[in-house]
Amino acid sequence: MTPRLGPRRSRALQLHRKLITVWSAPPGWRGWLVTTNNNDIGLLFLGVATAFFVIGGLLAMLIRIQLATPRSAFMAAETYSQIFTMHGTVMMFLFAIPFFEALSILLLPGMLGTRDMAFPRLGAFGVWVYIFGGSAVIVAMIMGLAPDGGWFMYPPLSSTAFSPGIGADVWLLGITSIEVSAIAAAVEVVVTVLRYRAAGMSLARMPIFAWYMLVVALMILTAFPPMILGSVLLEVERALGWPFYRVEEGGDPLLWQHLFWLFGHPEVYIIFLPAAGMIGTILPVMARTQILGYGWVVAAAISLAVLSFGLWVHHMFATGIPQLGLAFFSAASTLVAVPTAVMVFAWIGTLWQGRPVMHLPMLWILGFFATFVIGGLTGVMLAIVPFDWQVHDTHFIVAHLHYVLIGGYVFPMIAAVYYFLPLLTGRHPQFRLGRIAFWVTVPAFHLTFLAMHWAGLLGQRRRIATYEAEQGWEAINFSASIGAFALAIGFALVILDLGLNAVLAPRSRRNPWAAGTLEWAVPLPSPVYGFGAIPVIEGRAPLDMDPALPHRIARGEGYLAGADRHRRETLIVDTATGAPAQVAVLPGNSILPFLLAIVTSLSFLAPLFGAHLVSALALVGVAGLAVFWAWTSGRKVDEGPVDAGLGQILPTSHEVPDPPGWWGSLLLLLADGVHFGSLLFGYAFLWTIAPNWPPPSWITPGLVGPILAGGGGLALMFGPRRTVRAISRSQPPRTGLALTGVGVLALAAAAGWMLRNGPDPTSHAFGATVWLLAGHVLLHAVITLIMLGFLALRIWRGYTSPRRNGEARILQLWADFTAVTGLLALTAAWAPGAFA
Amino acid sequence: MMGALAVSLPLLLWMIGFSGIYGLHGATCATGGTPLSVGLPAVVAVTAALQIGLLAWILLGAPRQLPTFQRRLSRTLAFVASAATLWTGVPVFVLPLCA
Amino acid sequence: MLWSSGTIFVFVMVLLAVALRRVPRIATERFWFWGLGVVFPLAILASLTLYGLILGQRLAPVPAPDLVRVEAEARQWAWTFRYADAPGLVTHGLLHIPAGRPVDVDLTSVDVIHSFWVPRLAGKLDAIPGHVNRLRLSADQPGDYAGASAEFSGRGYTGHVFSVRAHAPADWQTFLQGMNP
Repeated sequence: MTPRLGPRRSRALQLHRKLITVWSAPPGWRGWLVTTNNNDIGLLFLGVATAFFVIGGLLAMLIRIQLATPRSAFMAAETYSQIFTMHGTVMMFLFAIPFFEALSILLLPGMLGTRDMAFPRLGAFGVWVYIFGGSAVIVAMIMGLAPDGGWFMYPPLSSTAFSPGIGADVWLLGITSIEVSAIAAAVEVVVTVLRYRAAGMSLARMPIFAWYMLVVALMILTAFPPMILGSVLLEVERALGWPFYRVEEGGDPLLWQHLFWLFGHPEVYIIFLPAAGMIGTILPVMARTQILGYGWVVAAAISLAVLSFGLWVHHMFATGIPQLGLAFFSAASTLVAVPTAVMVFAWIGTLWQGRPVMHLPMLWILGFFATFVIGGLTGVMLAIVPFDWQVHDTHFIVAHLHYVLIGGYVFPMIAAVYYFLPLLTGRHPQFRLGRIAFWVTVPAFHLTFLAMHWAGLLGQRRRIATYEAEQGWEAINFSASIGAFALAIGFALVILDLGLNAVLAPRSRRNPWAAGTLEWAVPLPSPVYGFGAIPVIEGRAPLDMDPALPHRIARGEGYLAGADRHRRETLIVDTATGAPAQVAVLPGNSILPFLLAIVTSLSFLAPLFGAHLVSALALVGVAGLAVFWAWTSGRKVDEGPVDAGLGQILPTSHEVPDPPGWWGSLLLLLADGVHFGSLLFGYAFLWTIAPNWPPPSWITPGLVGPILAGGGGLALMFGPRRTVRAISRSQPPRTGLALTGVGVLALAAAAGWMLRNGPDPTSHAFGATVWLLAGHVLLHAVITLIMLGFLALRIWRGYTSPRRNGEARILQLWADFTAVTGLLALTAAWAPGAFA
Repeated sequence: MMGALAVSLPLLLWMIGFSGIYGLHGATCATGGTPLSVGLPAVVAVTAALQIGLLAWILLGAPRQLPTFQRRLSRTLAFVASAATLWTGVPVFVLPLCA
Repeated sequence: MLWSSGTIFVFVMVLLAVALRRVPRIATERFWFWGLGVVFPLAILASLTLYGLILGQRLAPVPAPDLVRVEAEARQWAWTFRYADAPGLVTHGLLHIPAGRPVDVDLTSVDVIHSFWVPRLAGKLDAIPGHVNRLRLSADQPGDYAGASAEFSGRGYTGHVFSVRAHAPADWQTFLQGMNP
């Protein structure tokens, strides 16, 4: 084709060339290590998560071989325990959570009309930590060192007494890496959805998937911390002998179950809601209409998220909690069916008002309906306590959770991958194989798991390695195994078909499904920078309202057209109205995320091999790299407000009181606060519920400790405020900084003073808790101290000014948190001794 | 700010009430049952009253100047939270305390 | 419960099938959300939850005049049973109870968490170290009932089973006197 470009076309091409030089990673393998762009790391993330899905699937096949025949000699009980534990762990932690995070990193910026996620380097760091941690778990399994206590790892079975090897530690440390990456992704998603959008995209105009991911990310920030605490307690008990779960010394194994399921039940919805968001995105397009009851669906998603925090005890109906206690959770568990029903009927109602077309994504969504509704109904059955008492820990539960997770998550995610394939690869899926794969997978799924429901009702316990021929379960299990193999073939065909489509299918035209949302306003495959200019939108479906919008965007009609300042820029808007507020300056390519991930993983993994020195060195490396990381952003001079296009002059994100880093810190501290709250809950739980309390002795506060703590806390709250004020008025901030330093040291000294004659942490859970509370104070004191030193250095080197006071405000946030939780922690440790 | 409060407070109150009541119940039964046995229905009633007060505030009071979408969202969620408080609170009036 | 769930499933699938016909219709919020989304599930769930609470209450270990008490202690991978009516009497792997009378089993464990499950006599309840959980059993007919531990407990979990023998009144007395009926 000869280039006959009109002036408009050439303007688009000019912009494209400028943007591509600024936003691209270097070519070749080196590019993958340094890239921070959401398109690249999202794809990497998605690929690795898929690989873990394949591994988890192979493990499932081993399980079904074992159970296909009675008295199977395929695996010994010990091996079988490792296999089912790893199947659950891999699927829940290494596949399900990372896979939707990957999709949201890939897709959210496009849907929101922005160019990248809020914290590109943090995103890349999360992905690398996940890759290293996940791979370590798999390598351990191949070496025969896998955990074998079931994927929820109940102590005392997972304690050193009954799991002496390193299997349980592998699990705990592997899970830690997933937690780190999930929290990194969650912080990113919340800040992106709240602040990084197209101009004019008010809350009411946000794409439905963004609402769902906002809700899910907030759930991750509040549901993961209890689990993190639980695993910290278990690892500390295993490594140092602090008896949090040992009954003889005032611990309680039930504490683990509370902390685990306090995470574990919201987790089910953390997995389901992104899939629901995908259905809400795809189904209206397939039905050629708008979603019915947008407001209802948003309200249902929020309600479901919050109510799901009131369900955790329904995993513990058989642990001997009084009837009334169970009744609260039975009631809450039935109640969540209402927002779920609202969503399901919103989707069916949407089909009702539209003209549905049976493209492949729609087919998978129908597979979802046929499966998920059954899973939902058996879920309601399980909420009924007496029924649960019978089927709990049988194959009925296993079947139920697969209906919910495969039907409610995997099928919609397959629909999503097909639907977004043109965006990712530029090619439109169209082979017949895809339909064959669907018709193999869905019936095979139902054969497998309907049979499994039945086996459960006949009394087949989950996790038994073998069964006897006379129990009458042979035919059922054999059918389930046949179904499972067909299911595996089905999934393999899906992956094969997706691969073939990605490479061989014909090029797609722009917006092939005729969708109305912004992610389809880009050329296909989506370029790294996304949008030539940040568009101004006036409705929920901007492409329906203005089919020429993609071309106008490409020609630079909008904010921040091109990359005139030769750096990565995108728009930050007001949360509620979507009015342009700031120009975000995003970091470019960097090897730092990769390096930080290596030392972080090393600090987790080295203790497994007894290399505690390596771990300590790695931790120093983490702190050093983190400081260096923070150092590389920011500016030495005031740039002043910049031209954002369309006649708007906006400040850059370096020169506002609430830079993105402030928002990120706020969210991180939300998670940290929930973690601290969980610790206080654990303390109260042990005190009231665990046997062998009160401890032999409390600790007496005396006078020195409380005075140090109180004075330190006050100074810590006052100092940073004074610093911020001084910086804002161009005054020397010495007093504020000094006050902060004195405050943090005094608070740390109070914690140290408490431990000076504190109880032995290994003799009773109270002593262990006191040490952990002090540890919380000391850790946060160290972090505050590092941040203080960093800020002092930054001030000295000229990185602050009355405009650039955001870093001091971030310190203020952390110092407040340290002071408040520190005082609470010390009070909680001293209180019983003071009143005894 | 007002919008964020109006949207999040009702369900947060439900969550605090729910876990508080569950915790109180657990502690009561673990320590022999007597000290709080009269209190639990009262606590549920107070939570419900707070919840309904919040609902009234959202329906009639401050968030009126919010954009339509946030106003409707906060109203719906306030209704949901009130209903949830009643629904999960009813067992207290029906079942024996620590059987 | 299976039948009503089946009916709801068929109902939803029929709605879906009708919705898939490519004839656009008016969908009102009142019908789809208030009707199907809120009122429909709430009505079913309210009755179901209430039924569950009442049934749970009926199965609860409440005081009864002719109550029999036994203790069950779990360990990896065995069960030991003791009898309040015959101090000193211990059985392993086989729990004796009288038929036709309510029996309360006090469950505990000396090592990891186990679960006591005799499907035909009661639901399951965990045996947790440091805690004593009480489960109500009731066998209407004399005979042997299979029981199993239903919480994964490590290597020997598959074979961690036991049985319950329900005796006619006369045999129960003989058993308590230390003779094998």
